[in-house]
Amino acid sequence: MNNENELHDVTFKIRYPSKKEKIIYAVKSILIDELTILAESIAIAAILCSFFSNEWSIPQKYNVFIVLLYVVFFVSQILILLRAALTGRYTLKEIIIRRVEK
Amino acid sequence: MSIFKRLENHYKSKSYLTYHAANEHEQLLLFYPNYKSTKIYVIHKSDDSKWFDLGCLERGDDEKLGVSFYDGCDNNFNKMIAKMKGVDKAAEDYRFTIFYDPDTDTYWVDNSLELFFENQEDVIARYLKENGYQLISMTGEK
Repeated sequence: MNNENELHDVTFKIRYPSKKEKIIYAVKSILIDELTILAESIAIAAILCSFFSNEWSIPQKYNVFIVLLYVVFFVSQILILLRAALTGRYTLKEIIIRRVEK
Repeated sequence: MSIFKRLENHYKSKSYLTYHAANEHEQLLLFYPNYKSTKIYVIHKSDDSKWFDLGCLERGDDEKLGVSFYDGCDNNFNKMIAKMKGVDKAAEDYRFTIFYDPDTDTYWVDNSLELFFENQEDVIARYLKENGYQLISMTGEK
């Protein structure tokens, strides 16, 4: 809607995204980050599990794997929240930078 | 009372100088505080839209005056006043945002933008003239 102004007058520059664009950007970025965290958590939990004793049964190993997965995923969530708060990830500035990069 | 008149009165009461201008399709309110060097704030509305664009006047390195909008608002007086405070900050944030150019792998800041003006009255008059706006009213005293 607002970008139509650019057609009326070339001296107008719109340097803010629409609400829809902001939501799409935030949801897409969060989903990508969450999927990345999940994949990394699975890999880390599997690697840690492989160090445990071979005397453990498969169900025991599976339970430890699940616990490790939860722990790693939980810690990663805390870290990404801190990162979002400290660096302003998913914000207007990020969207502006992304626009310029394109 | 129209929202532009309310805005004019509000900023006048805060010792801002205001300029209300229009052309066939649009209205502009430009205002700045009564200091030597200031940003010049702009509220814009097209007659065919209920949306208000909120931004600042700027001058590029080609000396051309333009307006950049950093936020928008519907027809809500209090919200608009509050959002203008955010625009004030966003304009400076944008001015100092570090951009990345992936083609040349370089970072850059758009330091060509001039946001602060000393001869505000002349700058506004020039902008209005160059873009075909007629001054409807002005308030405040130097």
